[in-house]
Amino acid sequence: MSADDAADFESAMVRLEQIVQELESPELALDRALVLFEEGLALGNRCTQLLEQARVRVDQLLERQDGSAEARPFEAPEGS
Amino acid sequence: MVQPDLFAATPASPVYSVSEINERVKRLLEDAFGDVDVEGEISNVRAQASGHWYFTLKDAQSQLQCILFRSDAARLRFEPEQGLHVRVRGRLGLYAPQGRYQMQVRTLHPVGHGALELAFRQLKDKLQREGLFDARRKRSLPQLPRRVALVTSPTGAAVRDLVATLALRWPLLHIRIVPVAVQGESAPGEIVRALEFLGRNDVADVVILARGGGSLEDLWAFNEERVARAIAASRLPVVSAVGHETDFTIADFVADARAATPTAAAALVVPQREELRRGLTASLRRMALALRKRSDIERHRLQRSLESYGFRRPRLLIAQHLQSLDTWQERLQRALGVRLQRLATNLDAARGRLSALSPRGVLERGYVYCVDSQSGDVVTRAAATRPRQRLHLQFADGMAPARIEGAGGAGLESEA
Repeated sequence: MSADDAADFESAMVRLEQIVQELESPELALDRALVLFEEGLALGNRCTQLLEQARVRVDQLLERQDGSAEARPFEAPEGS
Repeated sequence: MVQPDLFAATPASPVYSVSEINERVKRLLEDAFGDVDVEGEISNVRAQASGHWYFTLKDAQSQLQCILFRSDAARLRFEPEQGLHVRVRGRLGLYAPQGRYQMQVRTLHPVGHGALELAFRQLKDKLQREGLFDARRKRSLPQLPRRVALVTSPTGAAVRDLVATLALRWPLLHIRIVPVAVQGESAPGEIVRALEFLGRNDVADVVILARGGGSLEDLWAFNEERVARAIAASRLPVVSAVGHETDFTIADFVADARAATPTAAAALVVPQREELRRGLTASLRRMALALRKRSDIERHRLQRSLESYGFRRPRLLIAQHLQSLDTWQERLQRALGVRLQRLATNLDAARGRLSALSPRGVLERGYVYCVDSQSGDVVTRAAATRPRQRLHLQFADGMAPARIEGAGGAGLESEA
């Protein structure tokens, strides 16, 4: 799973919550409600898709001489 | 006759200087005993800035002065404390500056319980007094972490369980393993270093410090003071998952959250994919309900307009609203799919009620309304008409052009 996908998912969830709240506000114009609804559905689909397709990413962090981080592939131990 | 010198030393009774006699006694003590074991109760403990410890070992009748040098004290896992019943091993000697005999203690064992249990209790009490276990110190875990650092052995069962459980629960996760020794001499230093390293670099959002089960000795690294302090000082929230359910370590007390097992730690850190999916469904349902409510409001507004007869609202506007409701219905039905099918059915019903209220239904009953041909405005009063004004009459089946004859509204007014 790329970091972008995780970010995507999060922002989609946040936006979806905003949409739901805005839709629940009584002053909302109908035109606006329709636009929001469409957007919300698209976000919902996107999130579901991300959840279905995601594969967890595993790596190993090592400390360089200067204290910074270096990511290396992680070799899973025997039996995993 | 020579007076005998009364103060002259005889060979049988030599005269010593103080230093000499102390030196003699010292050697005697050392030679006579070598290494001795003594059991007693500690009292009068003093830790010196130099790192040496002084205390008295006593029983009901007697006392023995003891010194524990820094290098020996450093090897102890616990600290000598008042009232502690111990067995010490060391050498007897004499402290010449004070002419006092004492024991130089090299090792010290608590009697009645293990050294590790004692050390555990001591450190726990100490850190507790300092407030390191306070609930208000504990940081909350991120709601939806993107990156989880596993500070653990890269070859243990713990890492395998963690990766498997995390992957299953939350596939959008980036798992980052920070390999450390989790037992043995180097373990505490490596754990401290890993936590500091994670604090310095922006590479993770939350840390799981993990190790499988083992004896108190095996888990000891997690009871070290410097490990506890590194957890407390960590920039990132730390979840401890050390040992089995019944094993408690100092790390568990000081961590922001404690999990009984690696699997439980995974559950603390990331949500279940299914939970999120349910949340998504709930959001979509709320959206649909909100829209439905919105459509109800719209319908009531139209209804009010229609009930006021005169069609005071311009016809075009009403038509527009109805049309957008229609459009919306279509889009909604298209979008909802199976999951919200029931809702769509409800909306269909609403739509049926709406069309019964449409202006067309009224016109079918024989009413007509007229619209100014030029402006498109609905003409609702005879008084508002002008001579020769062109109008369009709206029947149920279509429009017919018309013209005002005579004086129009002005004539009407004068007649009235």
